[in-house]
Amino acid sequence: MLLELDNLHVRYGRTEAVNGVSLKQKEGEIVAVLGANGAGKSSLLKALAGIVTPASGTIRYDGEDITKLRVDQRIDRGIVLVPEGRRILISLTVEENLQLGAHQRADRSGLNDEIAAIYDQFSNLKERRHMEASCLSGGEQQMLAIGRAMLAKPRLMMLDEPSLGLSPLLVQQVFSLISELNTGGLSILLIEQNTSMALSVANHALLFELGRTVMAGTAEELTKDDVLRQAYLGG
Amino acid sequence: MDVLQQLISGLMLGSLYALLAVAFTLVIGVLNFLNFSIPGIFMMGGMISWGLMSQTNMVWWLAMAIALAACVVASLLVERFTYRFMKMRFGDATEHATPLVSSLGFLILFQGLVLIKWGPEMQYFPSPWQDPNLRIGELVIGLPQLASLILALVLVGGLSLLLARTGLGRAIRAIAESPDTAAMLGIRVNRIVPAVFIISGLLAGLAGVLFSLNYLQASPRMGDEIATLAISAMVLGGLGSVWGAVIGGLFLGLVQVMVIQFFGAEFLRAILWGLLLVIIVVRPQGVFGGSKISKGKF
Ligand SMILES: Nc1ncnc2c1ncn2[C@@H]1O[C@H](COP(=O)(O)OP(=O)(O)OP(=O)(O)O)[C@@H](O)[C@H]1O
Ligand SMILES: [Mg+2]
Repeated sequence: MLLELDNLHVRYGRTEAVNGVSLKQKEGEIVAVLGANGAGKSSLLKALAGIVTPASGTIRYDGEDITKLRVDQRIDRGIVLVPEGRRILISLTVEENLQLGAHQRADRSGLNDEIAAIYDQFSNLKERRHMEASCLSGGEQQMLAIGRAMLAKPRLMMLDEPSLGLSPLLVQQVFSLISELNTGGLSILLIEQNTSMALSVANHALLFELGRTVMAGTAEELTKDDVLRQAYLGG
Repeated sequence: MDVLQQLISGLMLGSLYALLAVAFTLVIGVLNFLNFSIPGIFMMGGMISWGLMSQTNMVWWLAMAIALAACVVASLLVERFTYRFMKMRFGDATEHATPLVSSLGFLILFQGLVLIKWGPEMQYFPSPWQDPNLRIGELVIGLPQLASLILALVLVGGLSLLLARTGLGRAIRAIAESPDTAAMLGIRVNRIVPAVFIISGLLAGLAGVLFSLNYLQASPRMGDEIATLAISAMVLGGLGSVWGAVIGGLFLGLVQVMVIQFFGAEFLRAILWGLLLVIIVVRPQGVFGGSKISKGKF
């Protein structure tokens, strides 16, 4: 198993955001976490990335207990987050944002080639490489956030609502990029409110409600599920 | 010739303001924190090097190096007990006035310690040079003044290169924009913030040493007036702007010298502060600040 969560709890004061979640992900899989606003999806990813400390439970990654590791130590191991709302640094240039993704990599050889490869993929970023990132559109910012994460050499990329606020065309693009990255061997943990798109690329999926998994299975099983169809897929 | 001479003196005086203003603006730019302990660190630069030279006969460069090291340690103490303390207790140190007040406490503490050790008197600062003046034709240039100007420009030039071009600088700017996002990207904020305090403490201490060298004096209160000028220089230049602080500092030095030359020393305060007030009313974001008053950026 690449990732194994056992009975994870995340609390903010008295709010129980993640309430005993267990999950398994194999290398090379796309796992989607679905659920309504406030279900605790982002809190789960933050706990996995090391941004919040779980109240209890364990996170195992590639056989190692990483529950107590810092953010940078998890990035070193290839666990990289594309955060909710992109979190681009708008006072830095586009290129500096990309470089921040690789800021702690020990092996920096080939970094320039990797940046060039990202520019080849996202030509809008290339044109604006020396401009402040504040000039990017929402879609370009999402591409930048994904590019930044790619430069950290991830093995497990966690994306928090990457399609949020994007036009249907851009949503398509983001999802085909996700499939492409996965075909290249990257494991992906995907949070989405766009349930049908998420299920179309995922191998497995979980449905969250109030910090608990209320449904889990293969993407196919969930797509066919009546309850899910009515609540999240519009009948 | 006289005007040229005054121009040179003004720039050199201004370079002291500039160094101190950069010390202030760096911490504001990154942490949105007006660090009131900086005048105390400035004072320690002068007083500790004086104390070591006059009381232990230490050679001047070693005395100054030790004084600067003490300034860096003092600055790290301030970081530990103001910024970091608030960050650990409340998750955010940048939106509260408490670090500002506790840094004021550190100012009083530093001054108090120096007072206990050496008393309140103004001390004569021995000059390491036989003849501290360089003569070019009719122009007289003080070596300490020249050293201040050159050091200020070189250090600030180096600092802005560091901020603009290096990984550390990029991380500092990321923290300046959003400490949370920086932490999310794996930047170890608690490692980088002390670096900012080290640089700031070093600049403040160095300004203190150079001030004492220039005026051949040191006293526990030597930082008080110059700090208000340095803060004004920073505001003039735009909060958080390194080069703005330098230009603001040089400008204030020039104004000061020119006012004394053409109006007399008794007009200095009225004209200097009047001018500052006018500039701040007309351009509250500073002459080199962006289009609005904001949390500083570099
Ligand atoms: N920093 C915080 N402090 C206090 N409560 C929080 C914090 N972050 C999240 N919460 C609460 O925890 C619960 C789960 O939030 P979370 O952001 O994980 O949900 P989500 O599933 O990502 O929602 P959305 O789809 O709106 O992004 C919510 O009730 C939220 O109000
Ligand atoms: Mg969320």
